[in-house]
Amino acid sequence: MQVYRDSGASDEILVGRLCAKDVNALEILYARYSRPIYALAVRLVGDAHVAEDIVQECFLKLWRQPELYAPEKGRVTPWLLGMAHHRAIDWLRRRTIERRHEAEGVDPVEHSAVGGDPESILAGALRRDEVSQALAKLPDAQRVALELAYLRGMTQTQIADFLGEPLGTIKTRTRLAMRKLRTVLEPFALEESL
Amino acid sequence: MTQCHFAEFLEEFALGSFDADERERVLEHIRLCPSCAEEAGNYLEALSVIALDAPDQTPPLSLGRFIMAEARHSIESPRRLPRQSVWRHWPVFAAAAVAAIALAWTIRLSGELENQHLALASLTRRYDIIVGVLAASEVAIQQMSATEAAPGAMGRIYLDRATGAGMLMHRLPPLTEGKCYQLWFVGNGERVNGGVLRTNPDGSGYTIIQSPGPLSRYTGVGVTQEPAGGSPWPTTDRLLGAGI
Repeated sequence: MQVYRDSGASDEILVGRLCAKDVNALEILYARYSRPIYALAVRLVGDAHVAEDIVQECFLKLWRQPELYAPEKGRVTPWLLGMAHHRAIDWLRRRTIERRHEAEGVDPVEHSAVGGDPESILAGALRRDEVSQALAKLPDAQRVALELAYLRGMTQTQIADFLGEPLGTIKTRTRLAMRKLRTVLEPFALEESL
Repeated sequence: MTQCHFAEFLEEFALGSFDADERERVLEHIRLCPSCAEEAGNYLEALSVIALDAPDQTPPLSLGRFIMAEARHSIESPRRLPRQSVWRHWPVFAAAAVAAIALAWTIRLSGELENQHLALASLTRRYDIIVGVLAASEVAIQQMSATEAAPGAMGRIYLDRATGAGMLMHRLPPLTEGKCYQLWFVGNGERVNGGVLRTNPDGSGYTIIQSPGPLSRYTGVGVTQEPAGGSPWPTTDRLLGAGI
């Protein structure tokens, strides 16, 4: 990769520069966000190669269609993470269907080793402490419903069946959980910690 | 809070509960509705807490290089979308209907082409890595020996001594449900996770690998069977091994 300089420009400005096909802007965004996106993808799909594909798809999609991002959609980070999450969930669902068709088959799973410089690993660990604290503040029932939806890709109907609870209860729990997360997020200034 | 009737779908959209078609309908709406866009952004912001709770992982350097190369290449040879015909001499309603169908078809085709292009790009990247390893000036090729725990198992490892990148080809016993094969780098009496192997149902396969840190730290590699998803340290006897 060529040497790039992170000028400190905001994410929104960088996305704007992508419209003018500025590769340097893409390099800066990649340097800022490839790690959390990759980490999320590995956690969801449990396969390093698939996770790489997801990171690649997200950044190339961003490169080819930067106009899909609009500032009113919020910050770039959650938007990129959301894109990666949707792609990972799609892959998990496809794999579930494939596994139904290949009852005795075993699908490949692959991980890569954790790496990176010590400073960013430490920063990442501190950031995870903060978000773990935020999650811990949720009541168990709300956290479970949210994690089943977000990390397992289950629909709210599936969660209701799985937990033996009414669908309306599950919808209320996930809605409350997301609102509560938004509240506890405010003091954490996530953008800076990224 | 938005009053738009789409608002009730935004929570499930952000959670990923919708399939791709449903999601696309929500996205189309979001592009036109600022209040829903803001609300969806708020949900995604909240869910980013869970996303950022994932254990730290670093993508391989080759991934960033590949993405930037693709970006530069696309500037040099931009893809062109098919041109659309104009039905000027048909009645207005028929023309509108045909144009709508053509547009929908073009969008669908464009999406499929995009997916195929991404899949091809992924395959190209993997082959680029393999070719890079095989063409490296300091490539080391080692036959891996089977232990008594897996008689008949075979493995061959290719490693670029300069970068630590490599490839492992193997034929191992078929895996049982809930298990995987995992590679370990051995050095100073420790075993360091080298990743879970991509394995076909018959136990064969090849995996692109990367040594955790400089390759000079290690004197050998080994393969064990572990719970699906991998283990932080070996929990079973070695099946294949080699010095490096």
